[in-house]
Amino acid sequence: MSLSDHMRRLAPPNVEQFVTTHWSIVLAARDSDSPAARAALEQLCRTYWYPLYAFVRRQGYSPAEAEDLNQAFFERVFEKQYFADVDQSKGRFRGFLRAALKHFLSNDRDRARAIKRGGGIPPLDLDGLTTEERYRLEPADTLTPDRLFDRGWALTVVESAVTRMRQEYADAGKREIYEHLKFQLPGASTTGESYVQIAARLDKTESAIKSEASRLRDRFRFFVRAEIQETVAGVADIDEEIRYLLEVLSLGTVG
Amino acid sequence: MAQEPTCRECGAKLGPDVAEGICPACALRAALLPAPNERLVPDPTLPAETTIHYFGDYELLAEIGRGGMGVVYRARQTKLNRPVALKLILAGRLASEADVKRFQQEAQAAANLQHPNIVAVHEVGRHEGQHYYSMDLVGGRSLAELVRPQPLPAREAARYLKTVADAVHYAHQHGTLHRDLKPTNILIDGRDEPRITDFGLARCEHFDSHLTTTGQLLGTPAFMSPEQAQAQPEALGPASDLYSLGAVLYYLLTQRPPFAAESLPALLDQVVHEEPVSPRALNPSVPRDLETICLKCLQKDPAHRFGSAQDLSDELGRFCNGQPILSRPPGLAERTWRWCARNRAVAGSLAAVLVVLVAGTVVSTREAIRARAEAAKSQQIARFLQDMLKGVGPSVALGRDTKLLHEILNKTAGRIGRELKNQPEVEAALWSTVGNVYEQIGEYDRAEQALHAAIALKTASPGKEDAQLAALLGNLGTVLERKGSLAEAEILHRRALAIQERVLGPANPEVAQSLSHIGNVLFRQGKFAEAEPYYRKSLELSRKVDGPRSLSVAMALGNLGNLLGRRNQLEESEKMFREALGLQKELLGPDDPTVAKTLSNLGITLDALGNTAEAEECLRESVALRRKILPPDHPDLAFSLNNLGATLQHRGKYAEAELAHREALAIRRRRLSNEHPDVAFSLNNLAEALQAQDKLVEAETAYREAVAIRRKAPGLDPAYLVQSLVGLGGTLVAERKLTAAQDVYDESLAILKELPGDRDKDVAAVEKDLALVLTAEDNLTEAESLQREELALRRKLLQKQSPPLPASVSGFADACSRLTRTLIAESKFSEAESLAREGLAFGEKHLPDDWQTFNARSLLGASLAGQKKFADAEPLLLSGYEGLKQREHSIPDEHKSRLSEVIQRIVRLYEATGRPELAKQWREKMQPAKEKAK
Repeated sequence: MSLSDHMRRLAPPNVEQFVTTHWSIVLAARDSDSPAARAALEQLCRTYWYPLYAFVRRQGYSPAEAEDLNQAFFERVFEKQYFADVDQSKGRFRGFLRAALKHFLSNDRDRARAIKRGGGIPPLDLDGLTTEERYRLEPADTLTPDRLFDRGWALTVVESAVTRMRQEYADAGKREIYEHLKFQLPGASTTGESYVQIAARLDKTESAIKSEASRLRDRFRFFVRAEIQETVAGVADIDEEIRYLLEVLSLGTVG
Repeated sequence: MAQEPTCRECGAKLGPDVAEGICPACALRAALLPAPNERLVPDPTLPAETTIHYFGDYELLAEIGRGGMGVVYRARQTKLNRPVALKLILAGRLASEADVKRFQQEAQAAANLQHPNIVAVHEVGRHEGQHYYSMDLVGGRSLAELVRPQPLPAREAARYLKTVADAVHYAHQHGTLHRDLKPTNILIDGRDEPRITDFGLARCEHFDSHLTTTGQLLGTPAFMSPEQAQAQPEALGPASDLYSLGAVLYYLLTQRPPFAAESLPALLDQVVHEEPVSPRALNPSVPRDLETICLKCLQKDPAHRFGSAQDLSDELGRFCNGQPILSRPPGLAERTWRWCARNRAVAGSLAAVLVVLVAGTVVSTREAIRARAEAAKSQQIARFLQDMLKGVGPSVALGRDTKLLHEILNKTAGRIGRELKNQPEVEAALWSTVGNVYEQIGEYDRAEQALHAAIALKTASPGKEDAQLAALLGNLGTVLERKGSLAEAEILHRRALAIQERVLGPANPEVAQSLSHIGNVLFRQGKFAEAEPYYRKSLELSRKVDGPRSLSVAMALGNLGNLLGRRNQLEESEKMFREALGLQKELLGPDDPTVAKTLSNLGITLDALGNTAEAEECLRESVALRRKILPPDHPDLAFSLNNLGATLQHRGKYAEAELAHREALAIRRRRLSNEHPDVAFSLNNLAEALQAQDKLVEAETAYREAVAIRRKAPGLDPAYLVQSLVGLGGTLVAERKLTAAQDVYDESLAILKELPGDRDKDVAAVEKDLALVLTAEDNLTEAESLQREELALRRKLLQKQSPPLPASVSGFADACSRLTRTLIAESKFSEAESLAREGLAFGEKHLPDDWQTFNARSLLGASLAGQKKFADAEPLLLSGYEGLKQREHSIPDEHKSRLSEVIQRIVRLYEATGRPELAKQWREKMQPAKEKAK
């Protein structure tokens, strides 16, 4: 069973209880050699490659160099080179990754450059937009690398949540409902059709659509929280992490 | 381009990269409301308008504030029917049982505080898993709101803060720290009296929570002491609250906290590492004494703050009453020094920036008439630079990371032209500073641009041929020298010197420096003889004006050491370097770039002296030091690597040498240009190391590139081109590309013969190699004539030297031997005999124990045998062999085949004299000798 399957099967009502998350698996397996931990870590790295890339690019590396460095960095992470940094991360995957990356860039850069692609561990095959395309889409900003990293992180969190939710609706055969109601999600930039129009189009009552919309918003909140939960040590940290990311984003618009 | 999407909820512009066009901030904000199925506790964040909310005994009336820790409601305590402020601690804020326990203890302690200026805590508890406490409801505004329209008048601010300090002192005496004093925690009640809220309670949760403050850009950490920012709970004490009081005062006076940054990590770094901008710089109406009090609270070291809140209150009282205060302001120089002490890594390079700060104030006190203008100028510069230091934050000042510096410099460069219009003096000064710092970190192109800008401004204003302009010209000259534009550099240094001699007079340290620079440029062009008088004059002048134990003397000694080394006065060179090194270590400490440079140069001399082991040690030290103190990739590191590589090569460690040269080359390619003369040096050295390891194809490529660069380099001594050509020739010979090798040597000879000055040694060396090629092509006639020329040159060299240098002696003996062999091969035995006799006599006199002398003995035997004088020949051939065999280990690799040649001659002798048995015996000896020769 792949880890994304595992995620989809998480029973929503239990989410506050004894759920193991990717990051908690990794944390628990720090000192052992568990394949599950490696898989969990790999899943996290796949999801969060972009903030790393943006951070590295912001340090002045060319796209090719940044990709190589990212790759080399992941390899190091998989070799568990940086688990000492966990202690500074205050239990957050984000904090860990950022500390480890800084550590890597300042200490191991030269060795990393020497690592030839394809040696040792096979490179991660990253999905989505090619890295450089996406980086160029960033506002040409004055963000510091740290902030760029955290901002990229926030975007990635939301994006992952959207992706997983869309998938869930598709799997349940409710893609149409999702496509019509996604404009009701918090922070949507486009106004969709009214509930009446949607109801007519989908041959449902208006109140049925209303409750679908409300369910969609609840699911969305759930997925965002679940996404964040994957990267923190415990449920207690979710709010704090959200607040932190919110702050990062609000600073982004000020700066 | 399509219009950028905006969020319908918050109106933020959304980048094209957000998923599904969903505003990430609003999405996250929505997620702060727990999803329905995880709502385990009453949700304090629900809007209150829909229904009446009860929380235990409290009816929630309205939300009046929220922070990272919780939400505060205006509430009514139903049993007592009194209005209260109720604070609900957000879920997750008290992470562990220990946190809960500590929260309860602290709250209880706070509830015991009874002071008119402390908001009383009524009740602390837990309801349905939710922690809360209730307090007096204080109407009125917080200090934060009070200050929003404009800063408070100084006296009013001081009065409020005195009252607050008294209350804090009371709490301290009762063993309670506030831990989170800030303007929003200080309310002004109906009687215009300040009252402190949240005593002891704000910081009960685990420390990390300051990261969660929402809403305010500057949040709580802006008022937090460095010991709190560093999460050192054991270091927290009353002094931490004193710091926060200082920060509050700062805020009242300037409307901003002492530190502001774009991100929390950057802010925390500032709190720990940086000095706040002085309040008076932000609000000139702040009295100096109040500023002093404020800054004393903000000292990084708790021990330097006031001894207690009472002391602070007393001092504020003195200020309010117009009495003199007891605190003294720290000087600018002291603050600068402190900043440097905390940021040692960048301080070296930043020293230049900061000198401007300090120098500005010195000038302003010296000249009374211009004082006002100068003060304005220096203040502007100071503020400007401080602004930048603020904006960057020292978080990256670790090790040799220069990102901070780059950022500062780039920001400055970006702002100078914009913000300093109509102030050419200030603008020029800043360009100059920026240029010099760029130069120090090896950014020569940017340094050049900045210095050009400064010079343009200086020369635009009339009558400004002054010492400052001379200094700028000199600095630009140095930059161009580093970039390899030697001729231009020389012109600039000479212009600088002329101005300095006119404006400053001949006996001046700056004149000495310009003299040194001119010497350097000449030196780099290979004009050693011309350079020497400049160096000597500079040394003499430095001794006079700066004294014998000064850095300028050390510099002059170092330059002379280089020169003497290059002119083969090696012992003297070593002496000079050691003296320079001693002075530099004494005056600058062991970790200074200058020390690294002198070590590197001393290494060259030691190597030339044949003391390669010590040279290696010395150069390794230089490399290590430069790696430690310079930014990565600094061009100076390439010098040390280059020299280390050369010495490793001399010690036969070719693989290591190759690595050193490759690194040096890579640095130079990145940081200089592909056509820079230093790149050619590295290529040439790399090629030598490759050749020595038989990596001939790579060696040829490297040599060819070196040749190409050196052909085009203006002002470069063509002898360097010849060096590369000759090296290339050697590689081509090894690759058996004899015709190509011959062309290369021919070109070398042609160049050398065109050159002025004494090139005999070089010509002889090329003739030797060319003759070897001709010999290999069986063109013995031409080989012979070249070898005769070569021998004549070497004879001339020997005659000029007294005593002769070992290299010349050995070179002459070698030349004799090679010509003799050619003559023998041409069957010119009697000519060979007379030359061999000369060679042998020379060898027995100068090199009695050298293998070459025994080789000469064998050659004489061969010339005699060729004339059928077998009886005379035999003992010479045999003793020649014995001598050579005994010294086999000392024969260099390229001459190892001599041994088999010597045996062959004996074999031929025995064959010619009809002694086949002996011939056979000797032939058998030849096999192992041949093997070895390979």
